[in-house]
Amino acid sequence: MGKEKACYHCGLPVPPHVHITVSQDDTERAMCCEGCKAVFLLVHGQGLDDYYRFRETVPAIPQAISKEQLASFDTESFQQHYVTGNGTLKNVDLYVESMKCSACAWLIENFVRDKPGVLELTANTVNRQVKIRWDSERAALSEIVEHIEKLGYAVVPYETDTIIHQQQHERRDLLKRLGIAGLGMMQVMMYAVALYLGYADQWTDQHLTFIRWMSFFVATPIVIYSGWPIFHNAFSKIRHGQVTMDLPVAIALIIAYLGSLHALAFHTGDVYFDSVTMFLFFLLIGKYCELNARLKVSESMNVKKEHLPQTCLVERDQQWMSIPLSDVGIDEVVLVRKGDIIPVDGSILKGESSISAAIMTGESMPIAVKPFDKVIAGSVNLGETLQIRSEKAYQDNYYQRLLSLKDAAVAQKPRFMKIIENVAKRFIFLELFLAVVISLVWYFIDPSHVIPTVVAVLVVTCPCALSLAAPTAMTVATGMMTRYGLIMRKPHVMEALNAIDDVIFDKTGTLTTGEFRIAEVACLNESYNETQVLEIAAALEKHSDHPLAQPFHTINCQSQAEDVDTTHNAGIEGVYQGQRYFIGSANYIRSTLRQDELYDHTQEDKALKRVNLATESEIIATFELKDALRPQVKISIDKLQAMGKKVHVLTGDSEPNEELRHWIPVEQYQASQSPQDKVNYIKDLQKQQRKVLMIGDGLNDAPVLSMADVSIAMNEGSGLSKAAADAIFSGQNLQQFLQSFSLASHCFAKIRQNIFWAVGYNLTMVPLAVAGIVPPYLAALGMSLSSMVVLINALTIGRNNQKTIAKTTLAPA
Amino acid sequence: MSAIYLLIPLTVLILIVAVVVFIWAVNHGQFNDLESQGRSILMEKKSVKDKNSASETEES
Repeated sequence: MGKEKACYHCGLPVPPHVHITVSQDDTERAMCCEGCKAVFLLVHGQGLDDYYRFRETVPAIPQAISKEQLASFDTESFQQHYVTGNGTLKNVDLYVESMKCSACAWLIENFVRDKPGVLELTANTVNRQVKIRWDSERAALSEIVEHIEKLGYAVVPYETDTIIHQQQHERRDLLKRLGIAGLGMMQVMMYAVALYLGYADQWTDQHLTFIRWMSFFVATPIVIYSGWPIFHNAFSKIRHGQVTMDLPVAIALIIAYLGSLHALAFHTGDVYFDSVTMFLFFLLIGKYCELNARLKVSESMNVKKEHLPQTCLVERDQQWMSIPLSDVGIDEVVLVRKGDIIPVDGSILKGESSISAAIMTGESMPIAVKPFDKVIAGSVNLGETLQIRSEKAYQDNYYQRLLSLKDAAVAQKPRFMKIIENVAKRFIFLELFLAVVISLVWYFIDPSHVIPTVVAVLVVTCPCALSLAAPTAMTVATGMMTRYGLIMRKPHVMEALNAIDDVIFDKTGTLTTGEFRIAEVACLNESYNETQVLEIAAALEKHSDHPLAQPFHTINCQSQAEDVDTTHNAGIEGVYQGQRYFIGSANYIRSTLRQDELYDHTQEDKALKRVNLATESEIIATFELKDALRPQVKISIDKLQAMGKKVHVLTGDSEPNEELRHWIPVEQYQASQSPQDKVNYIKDLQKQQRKVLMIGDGLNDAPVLSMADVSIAMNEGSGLSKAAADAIFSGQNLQQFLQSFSLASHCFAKIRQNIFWAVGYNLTMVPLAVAGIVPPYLAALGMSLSSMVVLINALTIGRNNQKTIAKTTLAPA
Repeated sequence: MSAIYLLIPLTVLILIVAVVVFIWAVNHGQFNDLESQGRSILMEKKSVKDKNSASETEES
């Protein structure tokens, strides 16, 4: 890997001024910040080091835990909404977004399970859900949640939208039908083996008839119960004049079943209960795979649960009353205290403050607001108490609109799947027609052959393998993609990734992490050293929520700052160990110190932000904060170029980043781009018939993202850009994302192979079945085997990639 | 050969038991996450040294 040391915990490069190490089994491990160190010590202290060996994703940088947020887990309204259980035994479902691999789940389970009050805890990485059962007398929920958050995982209550809930229910139901069909199939097959062997033995007809009746008794409930979704689907659609793939299948099942029953009752011919159940079982496997693929997509769309408070303070009858948010109407006055989330879209009536709309718009810097300014629901009030007049009803606010944008994307199907479905549909008409002709022909040749031949033809021609070809490959590939950190929100992504010519990156927040880190510390007064100034700065910055204050929050300091006074969006003053200090922007320091001869900086790099620390008389230190490049940006760009893709960078910043400028051709690096410029740039490329992938994060990227052929939003990005994007990248390391290209092409190669195989199989078997050479059980076996081939072929997707993932996602040891 | 009149109905009984167990498992979410459990056997919690367990008891 690179020359830079990477943090053993979070995998990000360690900034040059940081020298934190920990020892693990006599090996020195570098840490990038106190936050990572604290988590490591917790994990190590509990003997859970195996987490580092087996994890497949790197964790997010640990954030400071907010006491207020924790306390919200114990509030009345939270308990009412999310907690169930009687007496002191309570249950709750939580959503832990960054719990992405089994090692995370294992870590959480083992770390929290034996904490006081916790009775039962299960972590599920598929829907990132943690189920807790606890004794509310021995521990408050917030205490348990705190243990999880201490490990660096952010926790919110688990909420599902109705679509997911419905699909989960459907999956559970289908799984039961599938499992029972499987168990029954094995049983009936066993009887069938006895029947086939029976002829060679000295079994009497009585024995054989008994076994046949037994297979009838086992097969009947299975056909009715497990076959129900197929029959229901086939015949309910026919009423609406639609023909589905289930129709010939349902007819084949019914003919085979009734034919066997007839043969059994009148002692004529063979019974096909074994073929019926086996056929059913494999059909259900296909359905289950498809449902799983759909569920995975909707579950991954359940991404971040930003939530508004359940209740808010509203002025009614000249009193502040706490009422449910959904009851807040237009033109009501809402009170929002410091640190609260603004619950409504509206304008400020009273109060001046600064708010952070980062969650909604991606704008990381706080915005100063005064009366008559507009605010949107979901923003956080960072300063003084505000009174806000609501201007939109609950269901019309910006936040709800974002959610509905998100929901609209769930139901779509990829284009090639639609094509396959159309092909399969024509196939079905042909198949039904063929079956009728064959039964007539055979009726004149030999009536006893009509049933077996028709069943065989219906089964053999069933485009099951064809219909499985795409969904199975997609399920496997979607699962693998999630492991690379790419969450697909729209189904065409896989298809489109395969055809991309140009990759366009936004810079801030995409090629860079979007989080500030202290890149350089300059001490301007000899009586202070680096550690001292960092400590003073940390003590003061503790009192600020400003993004530029964040990197200081992880630094430990010995004592507290006193007499602190913050000026919003500018700076902080306070007394630390007997001395008064000021920290903030150059303007702030200039105005407070009333001194003009200040350390002057002529070369201002836009990627750098400078924070100044001063005493009452002089500036003692400056901190350069840098929005650092993500790890392995260079390798990723090189690789993309090696794959023959053109890499472009479009940025709103006026100064190009020094490092990037060396890696990317000048004409493909455009600085000072407005959102409109970016849209035009993409349009120009598309006019040249090039397929464009756009990767961005901010609110200003939303129009560009929807313009591109495929768009990917960064997970830290704004809600709106995520709603506009086709996929969301939640990993830290860009190289992981590169894997998705090879995965997409691999997936399509597999789909092509599968289709080729399925069509080839159907075409070769049809003549044999028509000629009556293939008995129904062989037809069912052949169909099942061809479906299995498709399934197994799909499961090999990403096999060769497995090792590369391990290499790229894990922090270098 | 008359043993089959006893043994085959017995297989049906076993089948019913299997079905009941399976339905129980599905209803209790045993199939929700098939990956983590398989991997969890690879991961082992090391026995924690004395000083750590001491601090842990203080907490609880």
